[in-house]
Amino acid sequence: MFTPVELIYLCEDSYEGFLSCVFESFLKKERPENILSENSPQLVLLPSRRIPADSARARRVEAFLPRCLGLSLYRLIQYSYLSCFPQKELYMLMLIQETYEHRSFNLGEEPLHSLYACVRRLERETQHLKGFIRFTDYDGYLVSVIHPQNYVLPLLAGHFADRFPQENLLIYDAEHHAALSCLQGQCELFPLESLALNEVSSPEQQIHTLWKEYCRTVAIEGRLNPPAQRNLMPMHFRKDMTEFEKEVR
Amino acid sequence: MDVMDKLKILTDAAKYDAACTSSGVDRRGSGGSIGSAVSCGICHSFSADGRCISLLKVLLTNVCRYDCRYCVNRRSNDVPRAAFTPRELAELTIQFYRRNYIEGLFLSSAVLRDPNYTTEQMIRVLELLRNAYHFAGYIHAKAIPGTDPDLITRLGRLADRLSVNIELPSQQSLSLLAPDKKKEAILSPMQQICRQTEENQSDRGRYSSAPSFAPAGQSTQMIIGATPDTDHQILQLTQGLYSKYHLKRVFFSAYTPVAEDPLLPALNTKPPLLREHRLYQADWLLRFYGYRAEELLSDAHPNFHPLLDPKADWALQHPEFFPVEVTTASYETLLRVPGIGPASARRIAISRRQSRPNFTHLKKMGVVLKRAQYFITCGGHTLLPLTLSREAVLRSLISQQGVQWLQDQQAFTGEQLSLFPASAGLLEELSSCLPLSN
Repeated sequence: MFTPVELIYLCEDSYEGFLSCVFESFLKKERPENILSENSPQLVLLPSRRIPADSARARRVEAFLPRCLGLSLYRLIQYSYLSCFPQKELYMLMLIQETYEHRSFNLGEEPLHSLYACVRRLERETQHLKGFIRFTDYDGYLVSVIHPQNYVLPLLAGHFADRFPQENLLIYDAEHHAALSCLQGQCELFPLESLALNEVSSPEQQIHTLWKEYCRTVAIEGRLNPPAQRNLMPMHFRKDMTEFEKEVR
Repeated sequence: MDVMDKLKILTDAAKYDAACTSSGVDRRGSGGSIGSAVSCGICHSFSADGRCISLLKVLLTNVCRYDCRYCVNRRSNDVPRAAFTPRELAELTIQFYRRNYIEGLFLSSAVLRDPNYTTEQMIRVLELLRNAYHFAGYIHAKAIPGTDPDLITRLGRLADRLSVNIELPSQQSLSLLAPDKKKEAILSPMQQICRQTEENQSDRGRYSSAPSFAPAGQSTQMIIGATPDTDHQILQLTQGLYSKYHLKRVFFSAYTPVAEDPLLPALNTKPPLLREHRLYQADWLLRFYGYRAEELLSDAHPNFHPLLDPKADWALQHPEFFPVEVTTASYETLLRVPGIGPASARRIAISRRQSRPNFTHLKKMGVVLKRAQYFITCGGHTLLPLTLSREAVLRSLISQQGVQWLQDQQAFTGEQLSLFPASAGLLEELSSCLPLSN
C-alpha cells in the first residue's frame, strides 16, 4: 500500500514535526527513503521535500495512532522519540505503516527489534539516573547536572516530584540544553543554554565528605572487583556523582 | 567523637551484612512527607567490591555483649567502639536522602545490654524518622534474636522490611560458633514476622486504614564457608526457609576471616566467592525457574560443579528432557533450556502467537544461542548438525573464567584441588574438552 520512493523528508525537530511527516506519508501513500531533521548538517544526494509542522494534522495523527497501534505499541512510539537512536523517525514511520497494513508483528524483525532495543536503552538510562543523580544544596535549592545520551528529563519528572514534594529541585541536562524544575512538586521543562553554579558552601562540603567516606568504607577489601563496579556503573555517569568528584584543593 | 568517626566505625562494622536491596514495596510520596519507594528498588551507587549501595547501612552501635567467634564486633575483640544517638542517625539519613544518595536506611545493631534494650533504641531512631521527619522512604530493620514479640511488632510497624539472620546453616555449627544465639531465639521471631506480615496483608486488603507491618516482607542471611556444611544442606535449608517462612530473599555471605580461631578457617583463607556465586545462581533457579533443591543437588552430589552453573549441570545430567521444540513448548519447559531465561521465554511465547520464530529471531529476542543451540529445535530443525560430542557441548557451557581455571589446574596440580571435592574422573573429562595448548 505504501510505495517506497527515493525521497527524503526534512522535518522540524519536534514531535509535532514528526507527526506531520506521518500525515504526509499516509496522504501520498508513500514511504520515504529517510527522514532527516531540517537542521541536520548531513549532505543529501537524493531529492528532498520539506514538511512543515502543522498542528491540525499532527492532532489528527495523534488521535489516530492509539487506535491503529494499540496502547503498548503507541507507548513504544512515544518513548522511541525520546531516545537517541539516529534513525528513529524513519523506523517509527515504518512501524506505523506496517502495523496499519498487516496488523501483525514479529519481535525478531525490523523495525520492532531496533525500536525495542533503543527504548530498552532509554529505560535503562532512566533507571540508572534515578539512582545516580546527585543533588547539591545551594541555599535550600537542590541542583543537579547530568549528561544523558537520551532525552530522559520527561521520564524523571514524575519520580522526583513525587519523592520530594516539599523541596525545590533543578535538574540540568547539559547534553540537550534543557532543564527540569520541580518547585514544591510542580514540574516544568524548559530550554536552558547553560548553568553557572556558585561554590559549594562549607556545611554542604562536609556532607559530601561524609558520603565519600561512607562509599569508601563500605567496600570489603577481600572482595575488591573494579571490573564489576565499572560494568554495573558505567564510567560516563561518574563525572556527575559526588563520591567520584576530585578532592577540593 | 564526631559524626564522621562514628560513621566510619559503624559502617565498617556493618558491611559484612550482605542484604542491601531497597525493593519490595511501592509507596507514592505525599504532600506532608519526604520520600517514596519503588518495588524494583534503585541502585544509587556501586562500591569498589562491585556491590550495590542502595541504603545507608550502619549499626546503631557496635558495642556487643555476645562473643560469636566469626564476628568482628564480638565482645572479646579489641576494636574501636561507637554508638549513634537517634537524632544523629536520623539527621544523617535525611540529609543523604535529600541529595538522592540513598533509598533509605538499613539499621542493624550489636547487642547492647540485652536484645530488648537494643531494639528499643532502634525503635527510637525509626520513630524519629517516621514521625518527626515524616520520612516515607525505605527502612530495613534487623530484628535481634531474643527480642520480645511486642517490640518486634512495634519495629515492624515502622520498617518496610524485617530480617533475622540465620547466621549459620546448621544447629551444630550455631551452638559451636555462636553459643549466645539459640536456634529457638532465631526461629521464633521469623515465625512471628511471617504470621504478622500475612495477617497484615489480608487486613490491608480489607481495611484501607490498617497500619502496615513490614510490607516488603522478610529476608535472612547465612554465612557460607565458615562451617563444613555442604551446598546440598545449605540449599535444602534455603528451600525450607522459603516454603516455611515465605521469605522474600535468602542472602549468602562468603565468610571473610576476621579472627584467628581453631574452630574457623585460617586467617589467610580467601572468601569462597565462587561458592557464594553458585548458591545465588541456585537460589534464582528455585525462585524464578521452578526448580526444586532435590533436582539440583543430592547426597551423591552434595556440592556444585566448579565450572558449570547449576542449570547447565542439570541439563547435561538429563539428556532425556531435550531437545525442546521452541515453537510448541510450554513456558516452564522453555525455562529449563540453558541460554533461555524468563525474559526470553516470555518474548518467545508472545511472538509465536503472531508468527513462527526462526533461529535469527530467537537470537534477537535474547536467547543465548551459544548455549541453547544444543538443546533446542526450531520447527523441527537444529542449528547445528546432530553429530555432537559431549566434549563440544561441555566446552560451550563453561565460562571464560572456568576455562582459565582449568588451564591453571592442568599447569599446577596440588592443594588447590582440595577447594572443590571434584573427583579425578571429572577433571579428566573436563580436561579432554580443552584444546591441547599449554
